[in-house]
Amino acid sequence: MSERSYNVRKLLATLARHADIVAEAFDGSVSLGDKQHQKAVEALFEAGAIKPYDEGTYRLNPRLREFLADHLSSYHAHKDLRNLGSSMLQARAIWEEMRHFASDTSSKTMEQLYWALDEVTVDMSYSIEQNLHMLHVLIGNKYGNVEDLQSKLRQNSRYLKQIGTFLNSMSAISKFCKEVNDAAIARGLPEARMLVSRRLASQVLKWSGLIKDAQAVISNRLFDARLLERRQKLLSGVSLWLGRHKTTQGWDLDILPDQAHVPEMLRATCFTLRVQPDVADADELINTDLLRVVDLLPRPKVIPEAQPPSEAQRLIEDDDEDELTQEDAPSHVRAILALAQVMRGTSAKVSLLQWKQERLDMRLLDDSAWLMYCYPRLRELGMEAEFVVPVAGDIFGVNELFDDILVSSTTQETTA
Amino acid sequence: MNKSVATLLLQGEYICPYRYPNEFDILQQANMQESVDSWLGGIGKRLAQLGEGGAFFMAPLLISSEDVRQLKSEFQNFRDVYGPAVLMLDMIRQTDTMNHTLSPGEHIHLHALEQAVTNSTTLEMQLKSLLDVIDRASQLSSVRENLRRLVDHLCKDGYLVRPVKEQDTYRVTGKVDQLYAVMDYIAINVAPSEVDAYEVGEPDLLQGSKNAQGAL
Repeated sequence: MSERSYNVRKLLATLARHADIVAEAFDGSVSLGDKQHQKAVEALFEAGAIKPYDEGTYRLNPRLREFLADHLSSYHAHKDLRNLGSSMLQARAIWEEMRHFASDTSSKTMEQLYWALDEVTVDMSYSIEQNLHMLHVLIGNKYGNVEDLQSKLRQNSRYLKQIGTFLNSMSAISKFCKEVNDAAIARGLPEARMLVSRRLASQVLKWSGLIKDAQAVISNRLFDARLLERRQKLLSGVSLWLGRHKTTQGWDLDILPDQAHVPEMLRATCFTLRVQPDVADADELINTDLLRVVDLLPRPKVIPEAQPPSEAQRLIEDDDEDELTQEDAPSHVRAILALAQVMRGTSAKVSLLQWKQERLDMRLLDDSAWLMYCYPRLRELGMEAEFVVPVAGDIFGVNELFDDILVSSTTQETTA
Repeated sequence: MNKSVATLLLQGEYICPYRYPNEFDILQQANMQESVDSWLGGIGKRLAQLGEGGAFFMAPLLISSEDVRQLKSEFQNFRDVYGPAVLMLDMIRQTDTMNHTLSPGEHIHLHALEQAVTNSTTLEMQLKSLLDVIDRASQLSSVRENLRRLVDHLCKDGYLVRPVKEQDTYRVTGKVDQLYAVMDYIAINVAPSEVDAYEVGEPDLLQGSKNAQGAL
């Protein structure tokens, strides 16, 4: 993207960002207001979209206002038709320059002159179209930009005069086109001839026709003496209002429910009803109809058989070393399993510490750890524990002290 | 109770002799009006008529706050709600070919509209300015095509009806009276100086016309 395009986009983005302020400025002046408003106004001021008007107030850039007014067909009172004289002078000057540089058609200057002539002709064409549009709008809304009859009459005669000047401009354009047409070939400037013919000469007749048409209407239209019916006047008046106030949506009116014309003004709206068939009706005709409707209904979807809900997940705690094989199990597990096995066949009491000391693979295991490991597992392995209390116990001790645990088989006792 | 009458009323239609002649005839009978009225009473509505001999329609039995809110909203959004119909009907009025009064029952001939618009660049420009209001109208379409879309749009909104499909003749329906009632209210309550200026200034306008033409 060129720098120029970038700047255009940036400018338009600024306008779009602060569109509400631009709209406000189109209707009048804007002031700084709160901080956010002030920031927006400053951004638009920097972009040149608004210009200082009074102290602390700004107005829309006149060119931007003109563009918006054209777009909305909103014209202020006694707005002049655009003058084509300066554009004509400009076009003539460029043409003179082109003739001067005609010998060197390939030069950069000539290229720039072509571009300038193109720009001027486009501008003239736009101005003419806009003038015609404005005339038609003003005629259409019967000079809706002013209120009283005197002003309307004055505007009417003013535009009649301006139309005369406008028509003269058409003659000047025709003359200029003819000059270019005659001299361009001889000077070796066929592109200039083509440009002027396409942009201006081919349109002049059409424009002249439209202007004359407006001229004929403008003197009669406003003063149409035909008496309108009351309703036609209403239609005309409201339509004019809509044309004049393009940015207004409607009116905020107070309406009392008991006012006479409220029911008439209320638009009749659809009262939605949904009729339900009486499925309990045993009448054969109704039943036949219902069956016919049932046939038309889409087939019910086959619902897959519901699977029984799976059991809630639960954490299964392994019985630690019990599930391990004898070979894989650590030494203390093997020891306690061996103890349980031995105890099954005897009623004798076995000291856990002694049992440990007899096993070589458990020498490294701490005695107290072995006792603490065994004690909670003895009952489930079918054994009963008996603490061996130290001889000189701590009389103030809170915990139950023991030096050893004597193990005996519970199954043996129960069977006995 | 006539089924067709009930359906049309429930649909919010205006039953006038030009759009629904059969139903309008049925409703002309006093006993039928009573029966429809009492039937509508059961759902909080009543049978109403737009003026003497105007279109029948379904109105609320009592004006509720919801109705008032709806009406207020329609006035606030007048441009969107009624604007298109007003502008398009005014366009037809301005063609002036048949001294249009735009009253219910009036005939509008499409070819006459077309002739008037093609003979006047002013009207043509005005038609162009309405293109964004008329449904499916386009700069690329011919005057006739755009005028056809204008009348079709008015038909869709219920202000015109095309009695014979093969003919390009349209009739103004009774619904237009509702639009006039709204505009009347605006003229009285809103901006009489603006909306009604044309009427108020009429005698002066005539005098002004004579003076101005004398001066020119």
